Amino acid sequence: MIWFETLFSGLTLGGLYALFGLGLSLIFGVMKIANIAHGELVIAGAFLAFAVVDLLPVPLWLLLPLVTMGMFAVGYALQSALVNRVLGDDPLPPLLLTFGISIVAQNLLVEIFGADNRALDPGWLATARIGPVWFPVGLLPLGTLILTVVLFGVLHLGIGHTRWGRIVRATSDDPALVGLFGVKRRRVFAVVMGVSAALAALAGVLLAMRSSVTPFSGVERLLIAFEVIVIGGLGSIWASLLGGLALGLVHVISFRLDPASGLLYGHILLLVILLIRPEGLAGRKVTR
Amino acid sequence: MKKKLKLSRRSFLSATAAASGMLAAPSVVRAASREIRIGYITALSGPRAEFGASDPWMLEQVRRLTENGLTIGGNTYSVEFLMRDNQSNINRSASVGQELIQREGVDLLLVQDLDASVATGEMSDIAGVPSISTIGPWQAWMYGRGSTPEQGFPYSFTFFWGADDAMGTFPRIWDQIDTNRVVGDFYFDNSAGQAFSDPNIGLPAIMEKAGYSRIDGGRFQLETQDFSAQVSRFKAAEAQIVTGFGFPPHWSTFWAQAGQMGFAPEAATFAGAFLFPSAIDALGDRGNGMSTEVWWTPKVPFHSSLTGQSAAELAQAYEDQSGAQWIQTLGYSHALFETGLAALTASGDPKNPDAVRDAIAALDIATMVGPVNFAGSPIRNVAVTEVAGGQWRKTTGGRHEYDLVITENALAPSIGVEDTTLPLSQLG
Repeated sequence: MIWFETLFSGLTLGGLYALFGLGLSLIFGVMKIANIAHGELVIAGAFLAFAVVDLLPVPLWLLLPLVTMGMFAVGYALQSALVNRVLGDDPLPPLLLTFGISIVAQNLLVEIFGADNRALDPGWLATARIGPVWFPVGLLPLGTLILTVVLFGVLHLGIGHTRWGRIVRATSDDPALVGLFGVKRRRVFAVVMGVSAALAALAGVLLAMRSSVTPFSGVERLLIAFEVIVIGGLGSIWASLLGGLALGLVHVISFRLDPASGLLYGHILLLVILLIRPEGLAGRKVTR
Repeated sequence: MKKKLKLSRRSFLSATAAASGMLAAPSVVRAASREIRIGYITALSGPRAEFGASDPWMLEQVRRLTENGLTIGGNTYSVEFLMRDNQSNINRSASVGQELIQREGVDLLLVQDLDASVATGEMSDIAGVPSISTIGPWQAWMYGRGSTPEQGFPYSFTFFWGADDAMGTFPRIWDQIDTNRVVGDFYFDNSAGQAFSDPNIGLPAIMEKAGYSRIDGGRFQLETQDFSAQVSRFKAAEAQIVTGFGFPPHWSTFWAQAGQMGFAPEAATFAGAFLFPSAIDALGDRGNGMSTEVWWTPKVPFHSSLTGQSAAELAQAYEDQSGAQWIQTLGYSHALFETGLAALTASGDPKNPDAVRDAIAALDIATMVGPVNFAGSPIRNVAVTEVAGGQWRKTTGGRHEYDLVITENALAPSIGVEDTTLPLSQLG
């Protein structure tokens, strides 16, 4: 019985992890850059939600799309104003730039909101549970998992079966060549960064409902996001989901057996994957 | 006839060399003047930024008080404060401590952070610059640096309560409510958490002595995102009390999962997580009834030796001018300035480190946090302050969402008890 609880906690935590990783993996897949500011985008999403709720008490179903759209705009602006300027053959300038953005974003959040711990109070949803008495299941973690799977599905359809998705895939394959077909690759990059920021923001809102965050919480999420995409592998959207769920399960099972282990077994999983299957659980081999 | 200002290359070089020489050795030049330099280290950013949140405001108040200087031993000294942010980081603490002691040549170092006080305590002892610290259980400060209550330190001092005193309030809080006396505990794994969870001198021993049985939830790491293991263990053992130590994000994750998994204890007393009103606000309605150790509240009957303000007046002034709710560190950072300035004044010669050191050791003053008594303390270099127990209660339309109600005062008899601790099931 207790193992069912553990399994459920692991899967729901993994769902959140997968969502941290999804936006990062999208950026990496399309632009081939590692966005160091991804953790700050997650936290900025949470703080945008706090700001909206402080101004006017909107219900959750309205808050989620508002924050998503707001952070899409932030991501779009960030890419077109800053990151696009440094894209090139050298991977170092974007790395340094996003690192700089992460520091600026952190301090900006402290300046605006203070260093307090903040959380989003989901009201009755916080402790709502469904299921039989012998196996109560929290509605919030269950909802998080379902929302994550739905988002993965939507992005899968978006990339695989729409005109926009074809353009993104083509840009990812050869950003120079798509220009010949009238595609403005910088605009494509900006939209992709917007989508990535929007996904990060959703993850941030869900995190703020599950726990509480400070402006300094971004770094830990970035680490999780990187582990998710390394464990899952690159090349497919679903790989991130698999990576997230695997990491979440390993964390929760190790917390149960050895509470003091922290993220140790997650890191060990990462190492084992790197040793025996460097392309990740579901990634395809990249030869270059 | 017009006289031209002549600036030859030679005279320009010699003038700039002299000027930059002055800049490069500020401590030497300034030491001759009657100026006292006081270094102040606190956490303004990083995970412990809330602890330092009121410090810039507090420093502003103290600067205004000392703008006409201090008259000590018939001489008037001007006072300069140098505040440094240690970014909640022990390495950064060491480098700002180094900077203040070596480059700025401070006469006294005030430290409002445990990590910083451990790092800078050593420097102050080696350099022979007196330092006073607070906000850290004195055991962690003393044993962490390899000393003993008999031995002490040459130049570093601290005043705060002890870990044993704070933990001792917990069973007395629980004694006030009707439970099955089964306690589930779990601790954040850092130096303070290890002291709190020590099976011989920490909370487990204190609980056992008080007649409570213990369900061990273990220690956890900083990044832990899931506490379902602890929740299901406590729930299976039917624990009615939850305790331990951790930061607000840990507790809010645990508490949400407890709700989702149908675990509803009668008391939740968690060190570290309930110090600040913002942490309780972040729990929403479920923050009602959380209990904690209490360092300082606006209701303590103490007055400032600097301004004569009561605790309530200090909190009011902070709330009016900052727009934020009072925090527990407000009293301690005020008291840190009180002890520092009192020692400098009593020394007779603030530029003489040994005179200042002796003045600190002989100090016994009434501060914003109650008596700070180094002179009569059985522990060398340490003045132990009072600690009480309290419970956060939802207000009915007050200034704030939650107020801290004092429910236990065995170690702080001058603080009045306002109510008995109520079980969580009664508070809803």
